[in-house]
Amino acid sequence: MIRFKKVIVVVLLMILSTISLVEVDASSATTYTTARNRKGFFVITQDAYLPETTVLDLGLDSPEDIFIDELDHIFIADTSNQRVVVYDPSTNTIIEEISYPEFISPKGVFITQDNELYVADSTAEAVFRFDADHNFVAKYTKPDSASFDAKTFNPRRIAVDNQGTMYVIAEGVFDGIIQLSSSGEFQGFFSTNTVNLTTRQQLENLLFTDTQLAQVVDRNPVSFSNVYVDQKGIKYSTSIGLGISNLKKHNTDGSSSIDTDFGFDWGMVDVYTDQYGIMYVAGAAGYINIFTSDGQFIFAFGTDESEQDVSGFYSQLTSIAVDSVGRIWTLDQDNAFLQSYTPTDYSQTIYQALALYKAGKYDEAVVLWEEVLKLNQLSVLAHNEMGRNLFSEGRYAESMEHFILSGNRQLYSQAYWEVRNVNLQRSLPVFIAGFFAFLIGYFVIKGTNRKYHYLDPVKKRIKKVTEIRIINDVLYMFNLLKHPLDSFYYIKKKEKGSYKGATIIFALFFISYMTYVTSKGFIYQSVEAADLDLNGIIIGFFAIAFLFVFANYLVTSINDGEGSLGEIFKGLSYSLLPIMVAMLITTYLSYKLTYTEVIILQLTMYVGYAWSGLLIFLAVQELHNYTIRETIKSFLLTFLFMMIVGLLFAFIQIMGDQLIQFVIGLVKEAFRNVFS
Amino acid sequence: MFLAKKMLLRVFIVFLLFASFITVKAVYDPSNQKTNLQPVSLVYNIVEPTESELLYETANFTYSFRESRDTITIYDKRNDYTWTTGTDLEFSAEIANECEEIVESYEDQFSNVDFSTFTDFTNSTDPLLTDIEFYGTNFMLKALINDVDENFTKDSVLLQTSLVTLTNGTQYQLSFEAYGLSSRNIEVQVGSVYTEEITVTNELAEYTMTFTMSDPTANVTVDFLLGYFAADAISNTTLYFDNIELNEYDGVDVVDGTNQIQGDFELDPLTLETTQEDVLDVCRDREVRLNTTYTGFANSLVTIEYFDSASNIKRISSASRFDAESLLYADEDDESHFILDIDFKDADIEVLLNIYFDDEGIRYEILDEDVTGDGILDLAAIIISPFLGASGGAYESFDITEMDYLDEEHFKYKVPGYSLVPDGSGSLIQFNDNTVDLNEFNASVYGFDPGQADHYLQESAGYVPFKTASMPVFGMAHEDVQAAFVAFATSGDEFMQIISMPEENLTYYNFTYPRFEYNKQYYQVYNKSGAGYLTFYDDRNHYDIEMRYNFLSGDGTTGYSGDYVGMAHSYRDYLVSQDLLQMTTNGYNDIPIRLDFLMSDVEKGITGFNNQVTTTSSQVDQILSMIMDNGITNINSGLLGWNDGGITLGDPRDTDFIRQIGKQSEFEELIRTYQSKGVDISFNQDYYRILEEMMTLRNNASKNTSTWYSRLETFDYPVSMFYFARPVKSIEWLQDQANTFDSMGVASYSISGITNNLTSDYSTDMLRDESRDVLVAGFDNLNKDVLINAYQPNMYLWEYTDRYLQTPVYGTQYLIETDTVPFIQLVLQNTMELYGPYANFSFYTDSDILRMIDYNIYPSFVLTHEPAYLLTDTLSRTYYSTEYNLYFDLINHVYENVNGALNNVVNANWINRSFIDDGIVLNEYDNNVMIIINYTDESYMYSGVSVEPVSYAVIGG
Repeated sequence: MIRFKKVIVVVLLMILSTISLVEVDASSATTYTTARNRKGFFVITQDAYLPETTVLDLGLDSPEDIFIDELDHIFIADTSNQRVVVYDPSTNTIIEEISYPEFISPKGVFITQDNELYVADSTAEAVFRFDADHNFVAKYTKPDSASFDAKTFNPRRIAVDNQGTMYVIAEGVFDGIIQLSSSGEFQGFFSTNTVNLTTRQQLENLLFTDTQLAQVVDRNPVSFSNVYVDQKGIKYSTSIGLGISNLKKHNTDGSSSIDTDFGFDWGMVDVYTDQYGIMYVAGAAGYINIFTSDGQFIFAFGTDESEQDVSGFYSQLTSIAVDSVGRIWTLDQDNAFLQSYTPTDYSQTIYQALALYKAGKYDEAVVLWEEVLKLNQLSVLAHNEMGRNLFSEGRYAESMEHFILSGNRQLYSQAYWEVRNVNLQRSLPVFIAGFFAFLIGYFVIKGTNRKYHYLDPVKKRIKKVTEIRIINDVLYMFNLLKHPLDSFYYIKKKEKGSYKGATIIFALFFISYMTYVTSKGFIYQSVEAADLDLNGIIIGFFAIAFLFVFANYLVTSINDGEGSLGEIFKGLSYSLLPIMVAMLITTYLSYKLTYTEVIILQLTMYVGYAWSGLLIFLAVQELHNYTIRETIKSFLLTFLFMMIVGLLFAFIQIMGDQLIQFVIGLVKEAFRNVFS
Repeated sequence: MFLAKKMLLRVFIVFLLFASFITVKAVYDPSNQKTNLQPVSLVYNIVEPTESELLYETANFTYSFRESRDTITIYDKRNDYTWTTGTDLEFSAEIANECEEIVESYEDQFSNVDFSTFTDFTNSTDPLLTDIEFYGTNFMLKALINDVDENFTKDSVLLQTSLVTLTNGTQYQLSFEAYGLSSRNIEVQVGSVYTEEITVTNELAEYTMTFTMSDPTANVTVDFLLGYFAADAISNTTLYFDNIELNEYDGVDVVDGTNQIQGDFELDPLTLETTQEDVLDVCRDREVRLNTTYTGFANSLVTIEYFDSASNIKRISSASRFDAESLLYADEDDESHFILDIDFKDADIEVLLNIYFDDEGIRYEILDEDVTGDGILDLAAIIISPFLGASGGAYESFDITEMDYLDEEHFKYKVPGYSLVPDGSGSLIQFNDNTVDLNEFNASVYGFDPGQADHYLQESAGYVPFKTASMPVFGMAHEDVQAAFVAFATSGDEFMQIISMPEENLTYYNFTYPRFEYNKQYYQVYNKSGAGYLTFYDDRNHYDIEMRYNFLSGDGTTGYSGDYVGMAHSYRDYLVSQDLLQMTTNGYNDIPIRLDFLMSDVEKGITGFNNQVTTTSSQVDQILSMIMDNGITNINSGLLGWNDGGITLGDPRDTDFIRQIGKQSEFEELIRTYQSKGVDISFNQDYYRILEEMMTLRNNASKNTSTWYSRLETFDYPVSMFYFARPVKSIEWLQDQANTFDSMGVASYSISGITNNLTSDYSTDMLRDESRDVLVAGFDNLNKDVLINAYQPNMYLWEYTDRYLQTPVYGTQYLIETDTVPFIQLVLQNTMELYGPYANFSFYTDSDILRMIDYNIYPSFVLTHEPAYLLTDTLSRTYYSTEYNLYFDLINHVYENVNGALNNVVNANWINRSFIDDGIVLNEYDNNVMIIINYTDESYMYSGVSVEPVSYAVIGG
């Protein structure tokens, strides 16, 4: 399973392209189905569901919850009418009204496998249980166990597992989901949400006195909004609040087996599952989000527009359920209506294909995913799943293409490892043979040349070229590797190297740096080149380099440093060879190595950095004629100076903007006063 | 001008009773998605007694006017149906006032009757107490007790009977009924024989006490002591007494006929001047949920909306109770022409409404110069006959025993029917009795105007954009194919909104009306950080309003049928008569198909933007020839993103052909080759939306009324801020590009953006009506030999359109909308080729194919040579499935099916569309072809022909 990285930027829930030249909304959908693309943005995809019926005329009043039984009858907690309504969509009629004298505000309904009906009534402070014929069986009130220390018991949602254990969401209880035995005894909190403190709150905890802490707002954990038990007895829950996984599929110990943390609040209010284990989640704002049974986001549809009365729009979406043919039923509390959606081929095919993968029928799944890709060639989910199926089938090379399109670097790396392995096995003997052939050839030529000197004209030619001043200046950087101190001494004495040479080296470094930043292999190029802020990178690159030279010059010139501005630049440039080479090697290797060999790339870069760093250090020492101690001091001062300059620029930018705004405002105001 | 009454020496006609008794089966598409019908059989009486004076009569209609309420009554002789332009209701407030008055005078008869009337009783009070009163009221004796405090005693206030004679040793029972406004103690004394203190509560109750006479004196009085009792008890209140009796008592029951006190305070009914009947006469049933303003609105012929001093919108109607006066004049020279002169006094606005009658209906005209007055800058809008055809209403009745109106609401008979609104392809809003308050349908004709928007910056909505109203039409039908009208603006449509209010939204009526906007609040921003203030336009919008109402009747055997089909045909014929539309004849037998090619779009590159090319000119050739080899030959094609910059950044000012996509010569070759094969290839261009990344805004982008460039933020990438070209520029660019295209030998232009958007441009104070003129003139100037393919064109461009692209097939789907109907298709069928939305995107299933056949539209696809995932980083990522080799089979499948039905009716007129059963549509054409479309999953038999599930059958021809 791939996990999307948390999107750090403010993710707009729906990224839309409603302006495209020709609209592509040909269906009866009123909202877009959106999926995430390989960069984590939400993009429009083929419609997954189409709004079907809006049932407006059931005479409901602030209904809060729905549940669908095995006959596809919809049980509606008609809260303000103090009843539970059973609605049959096939005949569009209410077939039963369940009222019980003690109902005050029935808010949650649940039907068990045995067709028993449970009703959570917050004002009556009880859970009511009815048999399959809807005769009253039992009433469960506030547990008298000492460990249940909540003052009140106002159940608003309920789910019951096959053993009759009840899971209750109660108003004002922040400790978690209340677990009651089938006889109504308190068994503890099934699951709890932890309090996630913001940085500010953590700081407050650190600094505030107890009195002060008592005054700040309660730090209750994010509250559970709903609970659900599927046919197999697996418990699910939803929560509303920021910063946590708001959809949970619970292990038996109450912990969550999935992670759907997107870094923002979906406002989830209800969850339901179907035969495939697909999770359907209603968001209070009016979105319906659908996840695989592993908690992987598939797609969402809906809108947060609540002012318009258009089918597919909600005033207040409060509950969701799915019937046996995959239709989604939703409930709006404010406008008291049921809205159904009929699935399209697109969504149905996706669900089936997901199920086939789980069942290990990879070849069949591949066929279905091909269908999905036909309908939506941009589907990241489909490409990713296609890749996984192909991978499982051992079709690694094919799967790699799909992993590129879905942006799944992890699995791409694994697939590539397999492919490379095969290639290596095939080509290793050839490679080794070639290597030895080269060695032999080298020594033969070397040996014979000593005797016959047939390479002399070539050597002479090379020597001639290297003696050209500018080329010689550039190539001088190789000397630095062997005799750094001497070489810098000659640079200082202007016997070797030159400004031109240094500039060319610096330019070469820039090119290799840009290559390294933008052109690594798919696995290692985590941000695509086009998405990089190149202006920032380029400006930053030059700014830091020149600031270093400048700062170092200023710092050393008042500390008896002998080097001039130009010499420092030269020293810096001539020290860059190791890092330059490291970057190029890394860039090259990033195409050949998988994640498992990441250490090689890191090592290369470390060596490059360390070596170049050392050279720069020596350059400064030699150019200014410093001792090691003085050199270290000068470096520290240089960095301090650089930081100060950086801060200064930031200030100027912020204040300057305001100053300009102020002047513009002043002028405009004057104009208005004079001319109007 | 003369007074109507003077001028018209015509017979006063009293339409006494038009009683038509009609049985109709209401059949149409009840669900916007399901296309099946709800068979309801409805029976109703229309009884319409109205008193009005006849204005004008034609072969089909008589038109009369009710001065007091400003309503015109239209009596349709063809079906005996009467329409009134308003609800013709009394003001509830007026009824309430009159009723209140008479109830008061009725009740006054019982109140404050002098105490001396009750001969058996006297009272005595302490002389220091001046504010004690006794009198009869409403069948009871009323004692008003004031100023009693601890300075007084129990007997300071005394109610006393005259002497009664009791027999010593006999048992008696004293009884009376009493209550107080607050509970209070009193004491009852019978001579010196019997004393009891009791508490009179604030609920009427009977008090009884028995005693045995023990005083030989025989003559005693019965005294009620009402004075001071205790410090902590209430003394001052009002007490009521009734039925005071003193009877002999036999230990079990009172002895009949032994009562000695006339303690029944009832007055003699014969003396009443106002009787209960009088009250009931005056206290008539009165409308609920319609206050005075709203009743005036409901009755009115013209209502204005204006801004009050707090900038809130208020309404005054011509039939207003106090705030307006109106007078009807007749035109001396034209007897079918009348003028209603309305003075909206409260708003200081005067309006002249010209009314023209003819044999099809009514035409209203409000000329710009006839909208005057000192308050003119506050005028927000003018509304014409909002309640014409309104259905519903409820009233409350007066209850004589309660002497008040009961809160119970009685619902009037709700005439079944629907409103037609031009939402997308057309939507019906059936008159439903809703249980919840749903929002109204409100559409600006020709869509949203960024130039007059309330803010220069708009943000794209997170949902499928609402469909726009591309024509200024609406209609209402009472019953199906019975009585209907279609209304359309023939001037002022650029500023028109069509509003349809559902039942339960404020009122109990369904009604639909046009609103013409004159002024609006907008946000004037004055600095970059967005600070600003709300203000109004410097000047109101200037334009003439012209509205036509055509009344339709019957099932279409004679004239236009009384349903949306008739409305469409009536409107179509009007457009044809005005040369705004031309009927066409096509020279082909097989239907055409539209195949667009998406050639390129831009994505963000390392520097600037890169063209992501998905189809080159030679690949278009390759794909087209494959499709033609497959047997589809009647093709026309549009090329999207043919320019450098692709769909998003392709500059409309330029024809920048690039090698990557195709050189100009290659395109020329492509066009020429395919023209010889009968395939038309054209270049698609949006001349409306522009970006800063494309051109400088200065001089090119239109401005909002706040003088900032109008813009739309989409939060998208790689570009997200869109501006809108000035109409003059759009036309200039269109002309320039058209010249180049002409030189390349194109047979058609494919135009989008300006076809379905109309913006005002405040860089030159150009309002929408002028923008429209600019666009129309621009289209008129184009080479007439070249066809025009227009993307969802607005009505004013239909004249020039040969192919209508992306014809809407759904409405916005407001919850109040009950049916989607092919209204636009009915209007435009046979005047141009109509193509459906791209079948690639959720419009490819079998029922979608049926919808194409049902709606008489031709299929269209958009194709690329390369896989669509190349477009991931472009705005065209919404074209998520386009690769041609995925679509060969589907194109054939869709084309064969649609062509199989529609090639039978290529040049035939579509004369009727009806639902003959659940999900079964019958389309009839004037070449005797009938197409039966079965949306259900069961086969259907129709006159011996079996129609397979989710399939169609063609009969006749």
